[in-house]
Formats: sequence, C-alpha cells, structure tokens
Amino acid sequence: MGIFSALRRWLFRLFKKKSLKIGLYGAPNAGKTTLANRISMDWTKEAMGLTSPIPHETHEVIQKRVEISLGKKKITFDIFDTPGVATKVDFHNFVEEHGMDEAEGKRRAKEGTEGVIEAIEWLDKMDGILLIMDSTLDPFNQVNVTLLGNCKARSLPVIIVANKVDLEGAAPDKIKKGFDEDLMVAISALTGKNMKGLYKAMIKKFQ
Amino acid sequence: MINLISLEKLSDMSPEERIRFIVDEVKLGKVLVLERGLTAVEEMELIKITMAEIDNQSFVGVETPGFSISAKKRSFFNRMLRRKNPPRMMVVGPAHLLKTIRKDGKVVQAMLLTKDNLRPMREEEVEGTTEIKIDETMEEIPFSEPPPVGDEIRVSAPNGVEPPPPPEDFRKIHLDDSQIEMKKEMSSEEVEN
Repeated sequence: MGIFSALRRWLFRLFKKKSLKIGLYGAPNAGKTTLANRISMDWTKEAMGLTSPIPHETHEVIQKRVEISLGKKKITFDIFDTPGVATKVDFHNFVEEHGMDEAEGKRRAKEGTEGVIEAIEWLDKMDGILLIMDSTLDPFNQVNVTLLGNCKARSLPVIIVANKVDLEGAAPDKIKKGFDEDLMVAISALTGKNMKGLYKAMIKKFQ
Repeated sequence: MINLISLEKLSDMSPEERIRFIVDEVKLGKVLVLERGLTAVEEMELIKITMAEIDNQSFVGVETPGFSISAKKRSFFNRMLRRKNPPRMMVVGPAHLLKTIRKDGKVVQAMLLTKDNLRPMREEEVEGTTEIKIDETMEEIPFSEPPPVGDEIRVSAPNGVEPPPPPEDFRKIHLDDSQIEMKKEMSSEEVEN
C-alpha cells in the first residue's frame, strides 16, 4: 500500500497533477473544521463547515479547493475536512453532556460512527495529511498514534498541527517532543496565530 | 473477565481474523491483554469494524490503553534502515467498562469500572441483577474487624438463596492440651540457653 502511494506521488510530480488532496484528520473537537474554515476563509473568503463544541458535529467529508500562494510559490489544494476519528461513540454523552433527548442522542451517535468509517475510507485517497492535535490535551491517545502510524504505513506526507495554542494549558512542546520525527507546526485555528507558518510548511512538505 | 492472549494465538490468525476475534470477545464484555499489540493499520481496521458494530445498547466501542508506538523512540540503526518499532503489549476492552486514567511512555493506568461507578447500559439489566441487601436495623460494622461473636447478621437475598455461614474468627487459635505442654517445654529450654 505504501509503495503504490509513493509511486502515485512520484507520478504526480512527473506529470504535475492539478491539485493535491490534503485531508484534515484528528480526534473529535481537535479543531479540524475550525482550521478548514480558517484556510478556506483566508484564500476563498468562504467557510467550509459548521463548528460546535459537540463532538462529531462534522459527520461527513467536506471538500473545498483552495490556491495557496506565498511569494512566488503557488499550490492548489483540495482540502478535505473529515469527521473526527474515535474508538467509541456513546449516545449517553450527547444526552448527559449536551442536553439532547435520547432519540436525538442516538441519531447523532449513529452519524458519528458512520462519519468515522467514511473518514477512514477517505484516507487512501489523500496525497497528504494535516494531523490536528489539541495541544491542551495529552497527545499520546490511541487515535493520534494510530492515525500517524497509518500515514507512515501509506507513505503519506504528514504535518502535525498542534492546535489551540491560544488556550491556557496549551503545551505544543510536548507534542514536538513526543513526535520529534515528524514536522510539527503550532497554531491557533481560532485566532489565526501562525497560519503563515502552516502555509509555508504545507507548500514545502506537500509539493 | 480478563483474558491474556498469547503471541502464539495471535500469530496463528490472519490480520482479519485477529481483529474479528478481538471485536467479538470485547462485545461479550471481556477485557483482552494482547501479548503483541496491533499494528497501526490493524488498529485502524479495528476502529472501522468497531464503529460498524456499535449498537447504542450494549456496545459503545473499545478502549485501548497501551503503550504508544511513537512514544518509544526508534534507535538510530532502525531509523537508518527505516525499520518500525514492533507493536507492544496492548489491552482492549469494552469502552463502558474500561477507562484509561493516565498514559505516558512508561506507565499506562487504566480502571475497570465497577457496578458502583458504572452507568448502566440498559435499565432492565440493572433491575435484573442479584443484590445482597443488609438489614437496615443492623449497626454498620467496619471491614477491619470481624463480626462480634454471638450477634446475628441478617442478610437477605432477593433470589431466596440461603446466605453462607459467617466466617470463623481466625484470630483465636485453639490449642489442645498436648500443644500447650509442648509450648511450655520450648519456652523453658529457651530460658536455660
């Protein structure tokens, strides 16, 4: 699987594919949709999706084409905002923590599970990954490690995005230390802090 | 129930069989300790199958406290040869029974949820369980002390099963006459020496 992905990317470089598919992956509430909206607003003046503190708000893959240009360098990306990947989805959480009734909670839970499956299936179609981690939480959860491991198994170029650096308790250095073999950029998708650093990294890593 | 799964058993199965085995066992409420954990690709497949099997009644997903592969740094030699770290020991259990408390590169702390702190999956499951009720008129007896001799502790079980007899008081060691004589002889020999 990794060999074919690497070959596909080499052929792309040879024949200059029009756009690169970049997937935004991570656990629920890591800030994927917030980042997707930030990128989309910066380059197209349009948002991509709805954000909410309720997990699994994004329950299907949403795509948008953006052209990122910095100086003379210009690359066209198809940004894919994906549902958060999780190992468990419990409708009780929607009922108890977010005030939904049982029927609505079960509906959201079902959407959440279907979204996770769709996100995993789309991974094979990506040319590069932005792996978004909440820098206020422990980054060594099973989802982050599994996603990163899958990117490497598929030879997918990946940028670890340490998000939410605007919040108290943010520890992007912990992410950098723990994943020191990978390129990491610390940002705040909400406030726009260091987005230029992320765009530079995307042009450098994914070109 | 906690099952330790050996490397031999895991190696005898194909990746698909391994994941199917894990999901089936976890759905039965078992916590599995795998001598060799899953690869990242296998874990992703486990997540995918888990999501398809969540039924909002008895199975809400899996909890996988284990050592992070990335947390263990690859040696320079492995990095040069592009060798991945082998999967390490892994625990997989039902998400409503197993909770990861803390995790770093060296220690993984997880908790098995008991009936006291467990949120019931279905109300009928809780109502149907056997519960031992202690008579409300009885004074509360701390666990560190044995029950007082002569007092009757009334325990009733809703299913009508007779309670077991109260435990013996093991602090009192009853010696017969010959053992008492032997003790006296031993203590007098010690005094002479």
